[in-house]
Amino acid sequence: MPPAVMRSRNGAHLVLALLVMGAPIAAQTPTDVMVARGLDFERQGRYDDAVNAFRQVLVREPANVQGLLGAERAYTQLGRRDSIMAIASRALEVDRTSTTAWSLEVRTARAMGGEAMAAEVLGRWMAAQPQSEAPYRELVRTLMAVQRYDDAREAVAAARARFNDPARLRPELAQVEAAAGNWARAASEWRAALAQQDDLSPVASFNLLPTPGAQRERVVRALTDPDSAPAPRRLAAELLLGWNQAERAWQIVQSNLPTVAADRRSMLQAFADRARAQDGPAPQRVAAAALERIAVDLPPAEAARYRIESARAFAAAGDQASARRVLRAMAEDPGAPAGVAASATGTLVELYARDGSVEDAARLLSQNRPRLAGSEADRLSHVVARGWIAAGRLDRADSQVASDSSLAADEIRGWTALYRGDLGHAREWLRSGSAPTRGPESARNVDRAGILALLAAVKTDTLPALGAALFLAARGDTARAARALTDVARTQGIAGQAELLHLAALYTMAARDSLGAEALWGEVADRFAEQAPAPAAILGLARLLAARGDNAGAVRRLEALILNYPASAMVPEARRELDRVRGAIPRS
Amino acid sequence: MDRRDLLKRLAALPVGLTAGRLDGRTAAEGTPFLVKPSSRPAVQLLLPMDDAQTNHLKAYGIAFHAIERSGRCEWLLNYRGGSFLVGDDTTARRAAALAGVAIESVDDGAVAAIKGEIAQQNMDSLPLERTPRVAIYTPPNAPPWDDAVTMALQYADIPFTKIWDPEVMGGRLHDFDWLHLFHEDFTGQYSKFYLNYQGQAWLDEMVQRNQGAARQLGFHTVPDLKKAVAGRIRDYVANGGFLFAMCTATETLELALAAHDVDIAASFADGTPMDPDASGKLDWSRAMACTGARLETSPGTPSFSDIDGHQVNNPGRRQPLGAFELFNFSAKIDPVPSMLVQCHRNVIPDFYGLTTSFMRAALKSADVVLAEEPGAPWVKYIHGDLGQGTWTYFGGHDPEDPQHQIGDTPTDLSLHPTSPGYRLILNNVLFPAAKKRELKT
Repeated sequence: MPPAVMRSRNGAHLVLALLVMGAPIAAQTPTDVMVARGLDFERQGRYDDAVNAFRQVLVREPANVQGLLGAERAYTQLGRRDSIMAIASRALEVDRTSTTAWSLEVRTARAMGGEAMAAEVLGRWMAAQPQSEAPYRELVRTLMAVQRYDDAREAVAAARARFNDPARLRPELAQVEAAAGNWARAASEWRAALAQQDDLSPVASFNLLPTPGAQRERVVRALTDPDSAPAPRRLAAELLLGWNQAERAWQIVQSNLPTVAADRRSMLQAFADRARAQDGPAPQRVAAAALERIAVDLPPAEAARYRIESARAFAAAGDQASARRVLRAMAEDPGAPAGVAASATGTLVELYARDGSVEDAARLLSQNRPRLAGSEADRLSHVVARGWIAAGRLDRADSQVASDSSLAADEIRGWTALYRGDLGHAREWLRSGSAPTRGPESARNVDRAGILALLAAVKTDTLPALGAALFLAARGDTARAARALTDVARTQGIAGQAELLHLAALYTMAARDSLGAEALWGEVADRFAEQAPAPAAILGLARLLAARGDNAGAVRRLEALILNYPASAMVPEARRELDRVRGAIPRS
Repeated sequence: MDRRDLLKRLAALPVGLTAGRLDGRTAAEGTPFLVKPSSRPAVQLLLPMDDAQTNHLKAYGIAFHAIERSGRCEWLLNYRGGSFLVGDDTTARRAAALAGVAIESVDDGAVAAIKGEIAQQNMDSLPLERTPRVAIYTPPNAPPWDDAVTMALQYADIPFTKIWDPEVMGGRLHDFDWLHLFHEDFTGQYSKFYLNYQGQAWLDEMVQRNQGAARQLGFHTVPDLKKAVAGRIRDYVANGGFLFAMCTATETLELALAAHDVDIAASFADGTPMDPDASGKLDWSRAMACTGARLETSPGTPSFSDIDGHQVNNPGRRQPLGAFELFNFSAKIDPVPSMLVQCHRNVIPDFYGLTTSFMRAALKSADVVLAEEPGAPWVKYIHGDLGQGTWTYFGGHDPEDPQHQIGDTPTDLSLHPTSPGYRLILNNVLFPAAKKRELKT
């Protein structure tokens, strides 16, 4: 019979109990409100007020858990621990089974009177609830807090003997072993505990994640033992993910998926979310694989969303082949919703064009044009045109935008004219054209401005050798581009020599020929000291010297740049570089 | 012609020519950046510290080295944001040009006009005579980019020496005029990172390093060692040292001093739990700035006491960031606090640290509040005397990274050359250079 009913048989208590028991739901609300007020006072540091609010809760419900714990916190802040004992005792008067009240009394007794007093309370608790393992759990926690691990193990053993059950207090023993540094033993205890109660997994993960590197393999072995249930194996996967072993984690997940579809989805989603939160290609790849696996269990529309997400994650991981595989299946799926198929097609065209499979990209775009919105189709057409340029097919790039009057098409024409050496038209088209002003493609506008500045310095309208050199660079052959550009710069009577040599130095650096770059920049700095590229060349030289460890040389060059070209736009960057070389700011 | 004569002649040349010669180039390159040519011979250089200044932080370095070279520098309190007047020499001009520090040539007449303005308004001119010997209390091998003061000094090119527990316990503090403390936890609880960052290599190293130092210096536990170090720092101040502390060092130094014979450390730090009645046993007469504070008793809550108003790592009690306002002191009557608040901004956005601010209720009545958040129960920046010396506490971790988290990219001060928050730190470095005067504070 519950204590409240027992009391209700006595006179005035009966009236009170009936009032409480028969009260409408609204009358229960003030208890919650009082708890909330207590918490608010606590947040504001008004501990006296917090104590009063929690005490009002306890007058109404002496064993209210939030009231007891709130009062404990507030009294502790006020340095009045002795008052906690009274509220714990009062709670136990009305509910001898309240684990919260007993734990509170043990903690308070330990704080006030030390271990002897705590032991006395624990003894009373065990006598009051002979069938409960809660007092043993509290005892283990108490011993663990003071690092008495052997005694904590003995307490676990006593509980197991008392209840004649060797499975009792496994999570507690696991935490004792972890705290004592016996990580493999802790893992074995968790394995057994999770086999009985798999919702302990987050606690186990939190407990085992700090395992030192040298012990991790033993922990994984303990959790993935052939006799292990799925829950400990999944825990091993979670730990491996946290320890940067994503591929291995995914292998374990794949072979231990829950049989119930909803559980499987939630488990895979959680794994994918955790993996995506980590840096590096491996976690992104396993996240992509998990998302793709989720899609298998879902209806088409929802599955498509997961597959697109999966393809993006594969692409982010640098695994273009897998990204293409996922997208192709969607684009070619006759049952896929129109929007999903169009989105998949667009992403696939971009992937093909970027990977050099431009013919495939063009064909896919041509086949699917009717399914795509006009602006998206145009955008993808420009992507294909740029793919043709990268593939060396200037004629195909021009054809791709032949009937296109957009600014983006003008820009593409400008680049093809430039690479043919038709500098006059290149100036015209690049000046009128434009890459998107937002997003990653906007960086091309910077390249465009740089080339226009170069063309302004070179002056001539036709120079196939320059176009060929720049085309080599555009296709990634910076070493040959640098040599070709240097040859152009040395042509008798050519204008813009300093600009050409500076660009050649940049390409030479990109080709990792620092000595070659140093010679070219040195030539610009010394022979063309009065011309615009000189400060940039000096900055480049200084960076080279600093990278080589010649800090004194770098400082000399940077100081010369700052003092001799005070109006140059390079000066702020030179000052930062000077600070870096001198160790005044971090090398980022 | 010896080198000194050469330099004199160079200094007398028009500035553009002078700067050109420094690198062996002709005058054809034109007038160097930021230096205004004067028709009359310039006698001094003004480093304006209002919005005309392009790099406030490096200006402190220019002033510091001017004092070092010539023992001549004046701090013009409240004049154009707390400007500096230094001797006009080639070295100063060159350093200013390289650092991007704005300078103005001022002749005798201009200086007289400035002094006249200073005499009539809430301003003063304070001679700075001797560069302070600066020590930063930091563990060996600590990365320099996690301490705002180290970053500020390195950026401003002000030299300093690193010291740690062995040097403090070995009596070396008295070799320095100015001591800086940062996010050291003087309660010996490793900033309570132990609970959230257990297993992280950097934390293991921190624990091992501290335990090693405790063993080496004959202490049973790290909290015991830190209490002893705190006591030595207190003695240093009482004997005339200048102390500047930020972040956790402020609050935990106070707690360690007040807890000289009370166990305030959790069991993970010293093997025994905190004395359950520790708050009641603290002896606040030993502390420098605070009184009557209560300790955070939970080892699982990364907070030390109720001194800090913001409680950044205490989700239930964390307070949002506002802005703090600098007090305007009388420069002629209160030069010390005036020096400490020289800035080109009066209101500065607040920034978190493990200790962000100081509750007014926890301050001793003699504390001087230098900056506060109006209407809030906490203040940001405080100062006071102890014996022959002074202490100054500035809450927060990094003025230019208000939400600083462990592992964040280090702050690059070249991107914040006019930072008002960092200026306050550098005010503290130059403050011990001031010629002592019999003035009230």
